[in-house]
Amino acid sequence: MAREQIAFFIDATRCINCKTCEVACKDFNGAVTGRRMRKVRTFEGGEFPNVFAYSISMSCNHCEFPLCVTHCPAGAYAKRESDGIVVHDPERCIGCRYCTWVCPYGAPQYDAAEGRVRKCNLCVEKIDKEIDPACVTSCPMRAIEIGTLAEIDARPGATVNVRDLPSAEITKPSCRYRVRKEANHG
Amino acid sequence: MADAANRREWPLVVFTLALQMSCGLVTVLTLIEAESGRVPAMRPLGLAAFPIAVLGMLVSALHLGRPLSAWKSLRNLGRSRLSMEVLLTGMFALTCAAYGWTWVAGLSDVRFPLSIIATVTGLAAVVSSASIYMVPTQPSWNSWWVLVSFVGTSLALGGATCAALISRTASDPSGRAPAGLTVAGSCLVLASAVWMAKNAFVPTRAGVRQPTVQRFRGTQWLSFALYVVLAGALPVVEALQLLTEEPVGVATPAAFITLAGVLVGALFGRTLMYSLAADSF
Amino acid sequence: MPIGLPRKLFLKLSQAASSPGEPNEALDQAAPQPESHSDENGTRAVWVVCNNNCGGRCRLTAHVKNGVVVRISTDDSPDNVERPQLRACLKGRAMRNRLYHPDRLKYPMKRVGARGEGKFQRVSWDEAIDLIATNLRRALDTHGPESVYIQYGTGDCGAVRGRESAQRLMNLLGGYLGYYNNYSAACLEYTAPFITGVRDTNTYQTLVHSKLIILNGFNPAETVFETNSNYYLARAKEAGAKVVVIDPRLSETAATFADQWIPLRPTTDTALLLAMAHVMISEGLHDQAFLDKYCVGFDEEHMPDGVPYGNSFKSYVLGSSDGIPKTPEWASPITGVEADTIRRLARDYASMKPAQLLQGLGPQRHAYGEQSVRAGIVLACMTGNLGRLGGGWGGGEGGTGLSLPVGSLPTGTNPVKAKIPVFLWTDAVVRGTEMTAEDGVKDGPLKSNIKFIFNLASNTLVNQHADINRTVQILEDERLVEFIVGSDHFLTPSAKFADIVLPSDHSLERSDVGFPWSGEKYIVFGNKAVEPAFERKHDYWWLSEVAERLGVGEQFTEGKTEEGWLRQIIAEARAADPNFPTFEELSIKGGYRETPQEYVAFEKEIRDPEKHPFRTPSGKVEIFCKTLHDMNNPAVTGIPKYMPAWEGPQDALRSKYPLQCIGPHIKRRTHSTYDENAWMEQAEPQSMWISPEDARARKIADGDRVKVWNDRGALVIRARVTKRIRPGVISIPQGAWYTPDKNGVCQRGCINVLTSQKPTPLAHGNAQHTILVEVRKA
Ligand SMILES: Nc1nc2c(c(=O)[nH]1)N[C@H]1C(S)=C(S)[C@@H](COP(=O)(O)OP(=O)(O)OC[C@H]3O[C@@H](n4cnc5c(=O)[nH]c(N)nc54)[C@H](O)[C@@H]3O)O[C@H]1N2
Ligand SMILES: Nc1nc2c(c(=O)[nH]1)N[C@H]1C(S)=C(S)[C@@H](COP(=O)(O)OP(=O)(O)OC[C@H]3O[C@@H](n4cnc5c(=O)[nH]c(N)nc54)[C@H](O)[C@@H]3O)O[C@H]1N2
Ligand code: SF4
Ligand code: SF4
Ligand code: SF4
Ligand code: SF4
Ligand code: SF4
Ligand SMILES: [Mo]
Repeated sequence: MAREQIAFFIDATRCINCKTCEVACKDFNGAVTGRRMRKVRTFEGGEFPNVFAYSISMSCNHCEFPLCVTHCPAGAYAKRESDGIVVHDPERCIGCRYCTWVCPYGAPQYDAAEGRVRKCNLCVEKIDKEIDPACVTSCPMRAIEIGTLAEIDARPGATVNVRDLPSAEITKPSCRYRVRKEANHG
Repeated sequence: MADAANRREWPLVVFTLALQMSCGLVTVLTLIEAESGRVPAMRPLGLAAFPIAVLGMLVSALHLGRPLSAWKSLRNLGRSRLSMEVLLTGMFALTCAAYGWTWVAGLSDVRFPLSIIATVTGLAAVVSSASIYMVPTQPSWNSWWVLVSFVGTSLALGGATCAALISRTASDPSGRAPAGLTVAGSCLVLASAVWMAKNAFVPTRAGVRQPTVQRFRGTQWLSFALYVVLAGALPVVEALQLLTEEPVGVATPAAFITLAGVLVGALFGRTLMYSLAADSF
Repeated sequence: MPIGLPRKLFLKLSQAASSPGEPNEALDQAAPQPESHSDENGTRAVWVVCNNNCGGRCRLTAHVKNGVVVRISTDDSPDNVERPQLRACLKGRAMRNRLYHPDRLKYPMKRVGARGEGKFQRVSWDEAIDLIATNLRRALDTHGPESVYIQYGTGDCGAVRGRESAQRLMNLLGGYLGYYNNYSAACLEYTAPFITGVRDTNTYQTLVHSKLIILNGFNPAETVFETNSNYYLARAKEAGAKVVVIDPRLSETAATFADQWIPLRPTTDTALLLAMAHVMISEGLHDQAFLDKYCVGFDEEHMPDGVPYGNSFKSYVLGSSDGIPKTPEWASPITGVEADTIRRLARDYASMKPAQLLQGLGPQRHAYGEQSVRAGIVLACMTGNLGRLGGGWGGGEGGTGLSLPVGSLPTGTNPVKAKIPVFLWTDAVVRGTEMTAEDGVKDGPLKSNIKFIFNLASNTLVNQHADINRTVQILEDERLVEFIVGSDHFLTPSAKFADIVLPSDHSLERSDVGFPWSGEKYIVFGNKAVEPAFERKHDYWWLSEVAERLGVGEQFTEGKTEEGWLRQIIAEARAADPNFPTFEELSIKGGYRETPQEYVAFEKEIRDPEKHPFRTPSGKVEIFCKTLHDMNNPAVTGIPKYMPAWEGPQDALRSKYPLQCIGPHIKRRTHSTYDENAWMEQAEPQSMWISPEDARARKIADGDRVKVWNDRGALVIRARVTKRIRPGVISIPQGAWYTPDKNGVCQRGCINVLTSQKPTPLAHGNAQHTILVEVRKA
């Protein structure tokens, strides 16, 4: 079956680092304070007064080579055949935290009280009902979108190589960014 | 700064050291038996391998958020190195049990073959255990030094324990295996330390938050020094002496000091290793 | 459609490019069912409102299951360029963490320890109301109505609020001491009318027409001002506008939108703007025709009668009046901005038209904050931008004054005419009767010092007012203020100083409406989503009980509950405009919204100056303002002038306290509201920005706890070492809860232990951003 990988498109040139996506995701997904299944990170560079800063909103990237799927001893991760969403099943998770070591993006978020990891499942329960994920509909800047990887990769300025992000070679994340030129590494 | 959770991995420190101690023990016992034949003082050590391995496994469950579900870690055997480690460690524990049983029940015929099987499974478990840390997202670990360190620690721990507890007397001629393995193990420890020492020098890449090798900070220097001196240099010196000496009457104080040194050094080294986990991105 | 890909993705993608929604129908499409809109498995979805004082006003949906809010979502009406959804920010989305916070006040309490000590005892509502009524009666009988003060407070921005309810009550009882100004925009709102007659601003919808947008201390990426302000900024950029941000910090707005960041020293905006004027004049770039036609006081040829030669703006800028030409070279050492940068900005502003200069409220919450406001207006006139689409000048909100004609609880008229500038209320406690017009008292003198305070939905009693240590000292003395009533959601630093603390319901536990600050014509309707738990009550309710005890119950309520008033307010709006929906329709649709408009401030005055003169004495923009000139106050000038600020970069005090310290409003709080919220602390921990240079000089590393102090107080806070702030300046986000240790050192980083109560000269406004401090490792 032909697979259409779903991917995030993050327009960091619009992102005001307001963290609404992060909080909306938290509210939608169990409301555990310490758990940041979507997290907005800010990076800065340049020298005063030519300083620049930009923010990257990131969750799980539903990678093409998901190390989490390979390495979870409990088989809690699965990559969906139909759309490439990497789904984590908390019921299977035993809380070994190994996935937090192998995922380059800090996507799996451990909560000691629950003794389990959770991560962005791309709001599959919404997606399967053809509704956009909570983060997408929350962003005041409309800076988060989802689409097929092929479609998103073709957008002007779309890149996966961003100055301060882990190398995309490790897991091939299904996510593309539009970033300011200083942060664009090809 | 790395997550506090990653830095407090004492159950894994205990588990890996217990597995390695136990594996080291059966390895040395196997070699003694091959070199000198069976000696009486081997019995308590042969009996000890199993409980040490089991203790390690039990403690390792404490590292889980859901310790009672530990068995579920076998669910991804096809792909997960962690599943493989759990399986091999379990098998090793079983072979240790069988080996120990030969001492209890006096089944001397199957003892040697069983000790070989236990040694092979144990080493396989240790190797698979090391492979867990060799992942691209953990640059501080992702090299052969982890494997070298794990194997070296196994041999040094096993060797030093035997050297301290099994005296080389006429009635109990343990041969040169314990001291020899201690030297070999400690040399591997030293070699691993050379690799690990690159952590002392890596420049932290300014501004760029790729997962990077962690530079030693604060007390990590001390841990590193203790690892090198106690688990590396000291045993080499001491064990070389043991190797060259004529058989003596009882286990020497030096052998006990060496054992203590290897244990303490390995503890520091292992704790240091976990504290080098990459900053969570 | 490719296999496995949800249709919605494609709907959404194609929708983005498709046609706009029908005017006025977006909300109808959104909410098909009465009381609630659709939701699954036993969960009711209810339209609610976020009524925080951030300027925005967003649509929220509470998803309620078994009487508990289990989830919060936002606007789900069609989203398009003409009517972008009113999406909530992080604070709105974190509402549950506030609503169900374990520390929320549950019962009325009366003070048992010394005032401010924080010792309280639970009492019944009956007892609490009795105590309030008795003490209020006593204050009125012994000190008269002018002894009663209803504190500034913005915690609730609904239509039926505690503050208005208290005003209504007091008006029935003989009045109360009023105030003018606010803490937000004292200098701007007080000053702008002198210059342009009224304060008016463009709507953000006009930004797409600008070629150049100068954001002067304006940080909507955090301060919002209007729900979609940033959305319109992004659109303007996409339409090709160049954005320049003038701010000592690379604010989130600067980081996102700025093509150029100009990090000047705080308090020096006027110097920068004057130097830009100098460049325009000396290079002949200014729009002389515009100035001649619409303004007075730019040059000597256009001065009001009776003013001696040499007092025009041009003479001052060129230095012919004081011998100091306000060149970029003059401004550079003052502002810390290179002369060439100033020169280029002036040329850009004079040539890239239309250009919009938007001033935030930060630059005016400073010593001499009046001046930068005035200089900004002058530049908008010199470049001929005022009143033009895509041009213009704005202080903050977009198109204020256009708002829908929806009222709020009628308060009646105050028989007491005397008013104080709000920022001087602590002085009115200590020496009210001695205060004069010099102190900004209007219709004085005051007949009494303040003896009774209502502090409702306000943390201004302690936390948000300046110089906490002085404030606290005043409040601790029970001979000064005799009784304080507080109502809040939490035992805030202010509530701790109340004699009676009342637990308020939350906006999700009552019906109300919300209005945006800006002129976007909409209101959001908030249904009561859940019942208030414990003994939480609406402020209106207990005030009506107090009214009852004091014999004015009937007049106070007119037989209405708070919802009754809300119904009346809406009925009145409907009477004025038949298109306006009914209460029931509002409740179902979650609000009412007209399509956002492009509105240009002073467009009429520029198009047809004969018919629509500026509402100033001269009918023109008063670059030179005779009214102000005639005040004969050296600090209140006829034209905008640069005055070195007290505790500014040129103050000798810098040898003791070398760092300027500003207190920006940040995303994770509105003022002190949400400081309690753990989700917000994770999103943005309270921390101080300090440059690598200043940090290095003090051996401070990123993440270190540092102590910040001056002669007024000290606090401890975590340092964030960042290149995003100008060396010589630090920033401590305002609004953290004052949390003193044994020695009075605030452990949470509340900047108001450092700020000063010295008011600005004309507006008597709060200069809370103007302070000097020193920092060391804690
Ligand atoms: N999230 C959030 N939003 C809010 C609020 C809130 O507390 N939180 N409060 C609301 C309220 S009531 C108000 S009044 C407004 C306040 O809105 P503002 O008063 O505009 O906000 P500030 O953060 O005080 O200042 C805005 C910017 O001015 C910069 N600044 C400070 N001093 C100077 C100066 O001397 N010159 C220049 N050029 N820039 C300077 C600051 O670094 C900051 O980035 O925000 C409203 N919106
Ligand atoms: N240093 C410094 N100080 C400043 C500023 C600055 O820039 N720098 N900014 C100033 C400005 S612009 C302003 S507007 C003021 C704001 O000062 P305040 O108006 O005092 O605003 P908050 O601190 O948010 O306090 C509002 C309180 O209302 C409570 N509340 C919320 N909802 C309700 C409700 O429904 N009922 C009741 N009873 N209580 C409720 C909240 O819990 C909170 O404690 O601060 C000023 N202070
Ligand atoms: S981002 Fe991490 S958790 Fe998500 S698929 Fe990739 S490797 Fe797995
Ligand atoms: S923490 Fe859970 S999900 Fe992650 S690897 Fe362990 S068992 Fe798998
Ligand atoms: S898709 Fe859903 S789970 Fe994933 S980050 Fe967005 S809101 Fe969170
Ligand atoms: S909600 Fe949008 S603008 Fe805000 S941080 Fe997330 S991606 Fe950025
Ligand atoms: S705090 Fe302001 S911007 Fe945020 S949701 Fe509430 S009204 Fe909207
Ligand atoms: Mo304000």
